[in-house]
Amino acid sequence: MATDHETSTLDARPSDRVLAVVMIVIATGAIVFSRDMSIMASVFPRTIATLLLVFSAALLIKSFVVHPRRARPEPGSVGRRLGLIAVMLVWSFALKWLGFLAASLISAAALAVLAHYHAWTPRRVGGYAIALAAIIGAFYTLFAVVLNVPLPVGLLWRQL
Amino acid sequence: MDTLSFMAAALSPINLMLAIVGVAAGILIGALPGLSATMAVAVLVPVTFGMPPEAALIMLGAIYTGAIYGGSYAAILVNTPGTPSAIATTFDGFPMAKRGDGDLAVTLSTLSSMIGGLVGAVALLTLAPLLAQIALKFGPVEYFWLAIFGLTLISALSEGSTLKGFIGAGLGLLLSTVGVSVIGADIRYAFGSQFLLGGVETISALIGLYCIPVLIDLVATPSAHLEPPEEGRGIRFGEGLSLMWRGKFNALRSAIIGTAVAILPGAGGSIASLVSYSEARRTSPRSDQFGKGEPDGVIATETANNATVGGGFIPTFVLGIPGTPPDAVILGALLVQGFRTGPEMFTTNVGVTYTFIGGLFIATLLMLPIGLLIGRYAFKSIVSIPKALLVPSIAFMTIIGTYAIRNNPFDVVVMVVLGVVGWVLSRYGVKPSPIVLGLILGPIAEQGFVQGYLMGNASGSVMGAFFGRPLSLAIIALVLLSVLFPLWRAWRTRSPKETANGH
Repeated sequence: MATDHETSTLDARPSDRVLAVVMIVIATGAIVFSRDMSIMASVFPRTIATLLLVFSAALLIKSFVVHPRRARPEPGSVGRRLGLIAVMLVWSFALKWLGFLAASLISAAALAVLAHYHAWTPRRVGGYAIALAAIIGAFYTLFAVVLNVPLPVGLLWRQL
Repeated sequence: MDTLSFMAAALSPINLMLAIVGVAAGILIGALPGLSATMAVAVLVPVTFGMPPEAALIMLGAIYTGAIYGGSYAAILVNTPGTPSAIATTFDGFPMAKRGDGDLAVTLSTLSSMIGGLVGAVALLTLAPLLAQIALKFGPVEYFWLAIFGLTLISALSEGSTLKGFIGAGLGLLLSTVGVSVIGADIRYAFGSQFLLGGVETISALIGLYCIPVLIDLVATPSAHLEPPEEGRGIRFGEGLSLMWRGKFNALRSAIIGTAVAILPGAGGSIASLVSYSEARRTSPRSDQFGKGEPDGVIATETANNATVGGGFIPTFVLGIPGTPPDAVILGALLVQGFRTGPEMFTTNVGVTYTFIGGLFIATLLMLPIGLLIGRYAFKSIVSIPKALLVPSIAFMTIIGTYAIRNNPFDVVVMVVLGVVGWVLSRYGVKPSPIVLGLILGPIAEQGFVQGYLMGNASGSVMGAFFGRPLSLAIIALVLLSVLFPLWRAWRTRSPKETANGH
């Protein structure tokens, strides 16, 4: 029968091996790409990459020698998590093309849908839309007008 | 007597009003993720150009002190340090907020910031000329060892696996080498991209690493973001005061660490708060509670980072070397006002200097009522906002805050990508703090290391350059203490158990 300890944690060996291999690849890449640099510029990244290589190799060996366990990740919807990542990435790339205001309004609306778990009523939709538009409008004004930050207006609108 | 009369000049109605406006503006700007204290001061410097020098300095000092404190709101309530100096506040502040003690954490942060600010201001008033002389003796090698000392804090920050902590720090250090090298100006790991030439912007990286994982987990479940506070318990000022009394030595030690670190040019609030957090954890009888919502963790970091305000002005005024990045901006404002920093600040311009120090005391004291008032509404509103509004609002602030640092859309992409990488790594056991520590300390360590190496080569003994100076040896002793003490304590706590099991 599984003990409490076993059910609240997971076997960390597979994840530790994946982590170690990825880090070994990154460290090796850092050493390989430092070959064209001058000695002064390469001494520090090479030293760090070598140390990273040693630590990652130690983690890999450790995963074969002992049986480490890790905390069970927080439960929840995988779809919504991936949705948020997708929206954030599209948002960051869309700033230049759609402009700050349009990209932010569309992405914020998408995130509101992703983060909402209850039924949508017309009153709720209206209320949330007004609140989000007010928050975005206020911060946009603060940055663009008061602080003079040149927020992108969008290449798409310039071409139209 | 003259000193007191100069300081009393800060109490004029116009100076008091500027201090109130400065503190409130600083708190609000500092609370927004991505807007650092440096940016708060830089953005508002032009407003002060038309003012008399005393008034201008009082307002800038008030903005600075308010912004450093304001950074703790976002750290406590949404796990995103509003300013880099509030990184360590997330470690215990956010767990406190998650269990419904966010109001207490904000009150503790306010009290600690005030105490730290007062200690820093007293140091500025009394120790300025003497301490500035010691800071002058710090060479590149000492800075290298100081950065290494900072990196040894990883063992305290890695929450479980020290090995994974070192892997995270290694990744952070490698990320800090992207772009043009600090010495030699080589282009490193840019892969032909003009955007990577400028390197990974530290504040964007830490917004991504701390904030994006919180957003990813926020949308995953319908449950509330933070536990709502119990009704009718107010700001829990009495509870905060009793916790402060319990942690008085921790607060005093952290304030001294904050002041001392700030005197070293360029070190700043983030290192001060990390060092004092590590020391608080090392010496606390409840060290196993650190990282899980221990009030002493919030007290240590918030006292230290506000102590850097007064401490950082010491080398700025006496030597003209800014102690922290916002001091560099204030130094520029001083030059615009026609002041030359140096001994003149304490001779010819002594009136302006002491009126400013008086203003700093007033701004720090004003932080208590203004901070408690703003903090109370900040916690209540963050708790009561539905997720469908909270998630897009935080996401928008991270995007606009990151963009505004360098007006660069590519920084936003880097922020999001690093955030996703940080979330994945966190599931594999690598926490964001060691990565951020590597990113912050990387350039300081590299510059000190390469310059020390060059100096050693020129003098014929590289080992002598790194190990031959008394100040270096003192920092090396601290490094060894920081590494060996946790090992010794782990061995000591394990030994009785093994003995007991053996019988």
